[in-house]
Amino acid sequence: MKILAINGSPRKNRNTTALLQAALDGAASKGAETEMINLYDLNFKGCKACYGCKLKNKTVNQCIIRDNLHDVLSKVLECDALLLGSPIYFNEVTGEMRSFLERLWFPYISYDNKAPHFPKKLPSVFVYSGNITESLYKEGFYDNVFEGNKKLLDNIIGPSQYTVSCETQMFDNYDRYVSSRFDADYIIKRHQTVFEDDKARMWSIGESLIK
Amino acid sequence: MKAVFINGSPRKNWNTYKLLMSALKGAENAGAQTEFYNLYDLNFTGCRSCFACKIKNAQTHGACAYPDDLKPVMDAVKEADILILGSPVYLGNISAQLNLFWERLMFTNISYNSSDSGKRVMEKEKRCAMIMTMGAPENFMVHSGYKSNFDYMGQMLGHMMGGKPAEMLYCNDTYQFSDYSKYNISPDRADPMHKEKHRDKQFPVDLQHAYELGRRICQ
Repeated sequence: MKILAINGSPRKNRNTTALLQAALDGAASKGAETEMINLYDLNFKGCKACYGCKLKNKTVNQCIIRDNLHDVLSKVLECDALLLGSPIYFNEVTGEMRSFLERLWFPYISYDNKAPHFPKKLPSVFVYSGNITESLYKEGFYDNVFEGNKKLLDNIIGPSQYTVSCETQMFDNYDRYVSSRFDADYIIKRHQTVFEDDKARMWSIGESLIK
Repeated sequence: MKAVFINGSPRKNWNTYKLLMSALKGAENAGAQTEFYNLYDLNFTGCRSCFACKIKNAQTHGACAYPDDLKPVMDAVKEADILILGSPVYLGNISAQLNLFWERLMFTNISYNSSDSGKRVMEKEKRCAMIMTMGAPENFMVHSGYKSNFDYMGQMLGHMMGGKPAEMLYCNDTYQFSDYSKYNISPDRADPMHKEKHRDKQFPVDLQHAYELGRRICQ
């Protein structure tokens, strides 16, 4: 089985990447082949409205644009489960993740009331991380992002779930930065405890994807 | 008076572009110096979380230091008095390409000091506007929640750039394809005859509103 992770975070040694890697490791422990794609390493843009995916008498398998993202989209078609990860920037996933999602989703959406034509039911898990607090998350403040993405993934790609890692550690040393809004001691302690639980949860999720 | 226009649409000479150019002409008419940037022509990423803009006492504090195609745009925006963004609606959001710019702009302006409470760092206040174009008609825009999401973005933008919420101009039910017959489109989704009529009747009005917005915001 092949598990593909799409990483929408710019930093390879930090939280979102670690969460995705934990899920990949959990899947690998059950024998899966795994791969992590870092969107910030690729030179690509979002949808350019060429409408090559909407022409009559032509059903495309994926976005037709031939750039660095083309092979990644082919890998999505070939994998058995899809992991997505993004920090939250201004109440949204990163723009790089948005670029990826435009290129992933739009080609399968029809303008003539037909069901999206993604060729299989591909399960996915979206992990979100960031300064977001548990209280705002539980109040539904981010529902338009979390539930909105889940809905589109459910409708177009396959059954989707998401998990959230709140109040993650941004800096090694908060003293170096203008950051008095954050209680660094609390955040760092949380990173050593709650974040470890978040990673363990991702490991289990990765394991559970492998049958 | 310097006005910077940011085009978040991939297509030149279509709806978003034309509305922004109309606003630009209004701004020029009001005597502003104008600059226009097409984001899809540039190679850049979103925020890389380098945090140079947050380092205490560094010269980079408050400016996006990342040296890519967006740097000249960020420099222009920094000196601008007026900032006007334009975007189509892609999957309920601004275009991803505009989102990349949005991160770079907004994050450098936000302060993580508790006493600043998220206020802007950038020195020069700007008056802002956002022009959103979409195929969706107005009632869908309202019922789907798009309008309240974009209004909120306009408030965030205005707050970050100087105080007043950004002025929002919505352009609905836009004409989307040069040849509708090439595509499978159900009539309840988009009737080409209706779209044509709407384009001929309403789009010139939208262009005029954009022109007036450009002129008014520069006065």
